[in-house]
Amino acid sequence: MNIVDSVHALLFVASEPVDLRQLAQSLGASEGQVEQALDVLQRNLNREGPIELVRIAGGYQLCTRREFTDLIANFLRPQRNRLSRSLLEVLAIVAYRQPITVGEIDRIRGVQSDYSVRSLVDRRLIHEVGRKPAPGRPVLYGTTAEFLHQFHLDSLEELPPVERGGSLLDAVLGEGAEARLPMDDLVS
Amino acid sequence: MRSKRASRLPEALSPTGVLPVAPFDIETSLFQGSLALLFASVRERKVDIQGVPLGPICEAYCLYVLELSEAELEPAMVGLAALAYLLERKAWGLLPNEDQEPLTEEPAELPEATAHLYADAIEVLKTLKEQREAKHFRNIEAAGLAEIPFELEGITIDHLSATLEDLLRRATPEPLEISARPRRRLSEQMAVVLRSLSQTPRTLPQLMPEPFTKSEAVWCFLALLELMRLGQAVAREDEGIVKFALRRARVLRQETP
Repeated sequence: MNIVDSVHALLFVASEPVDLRQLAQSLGASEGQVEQALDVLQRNLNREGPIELVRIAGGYQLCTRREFTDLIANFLRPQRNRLSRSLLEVLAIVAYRQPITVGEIDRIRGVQSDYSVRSLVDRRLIHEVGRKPAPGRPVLYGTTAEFLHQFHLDSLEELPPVERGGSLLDAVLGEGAEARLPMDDLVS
Repeated sequence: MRSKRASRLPEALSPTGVLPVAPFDIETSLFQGSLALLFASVRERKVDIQGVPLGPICEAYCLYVLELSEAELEPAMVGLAALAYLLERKAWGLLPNEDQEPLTEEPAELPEATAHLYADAIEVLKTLKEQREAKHFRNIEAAGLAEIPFELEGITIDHLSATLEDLLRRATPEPLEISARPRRRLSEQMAVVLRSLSQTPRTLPQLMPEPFTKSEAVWCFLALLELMRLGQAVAREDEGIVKFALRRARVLRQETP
């Protein structure tokens, strides 16, 4: 039983991203060995088959290739949880300004945001990360691992800088280019 | 130096004056601390009172007054004054704009909204989400936001929530009453709902003739869910409408030798 197959087996049964440390512990190998095995596995998967290996939410996970999206959607019929404009606005503010209080979000938006914050907490995209040492000790919110997973990010560092001049979208996707994620460069 | 000392408040002075405030600890997402601190923070506009629910605080105050001893009359009085101030401030905030709140203190300058700076970030998140949805992970999509730990037999949680929303729209406002009354038991409500169910599927409005309040609607819905969990009731979808009925008893046939 070689280490590449073992890593493949563990990732196959995992229902959430698995990090290097967990894999190394389970396999009784060093993190370096596991990293090499992941490299080989990725190359093998890239050569053929409908599955690919991605780095997401701080770990590794197997997922289906984009070409199979429609086929799988027809089969599984997953419920899509669309985010409204106001929810996306609050989520963007929390993602870029975390940790942040509801009062600070209100000031940025100019409107009350408690409903949106509650809704994002219910969707497990943001959560309480502490209390601000200010009068009233208001709750501080930050994004969750589920947020990273839902937006296909490995870590918050992958969020494009908001202060950058020009269109942020162009900075991420490249003007006129085919839409690509920051993650694509890491996993391809 | 002298003037500094003169203007300094004595350490025993509470935010509402020389008298202590009724001892309440408040914990909400926007504020955590005592009633005195809430009063001071709202007065200095450091906390937005609109985000702090005053109902539970008033309820707690009423219970506190009911069990009051004579020695606590002064804190209770100051607590009432603080609560009255908070209620007034909140009420002014809820009024339409033409009735401006009388300014007794220097208004804090409202900062300019800067949400437009995040417009690109929102587009990025939208794009990332769309692209993420093109990939499927093991079991991740299966974990729904709301889960019901029993079989729904053909209807979805969306169907059930739409049914409850429809019922709540028909509900009348709650009558004002003392909230310290004993709580109703779910088992009692289940017995009522069970009596109104029959083998013929009926809609929720048919099960609950009007008028009813929102809390009665919620109680009825919870009782139905519990009966479904116990296998005594069943929900079925009929042309987009969810109907409820008694589950037919399953008779176990004994094999004859």
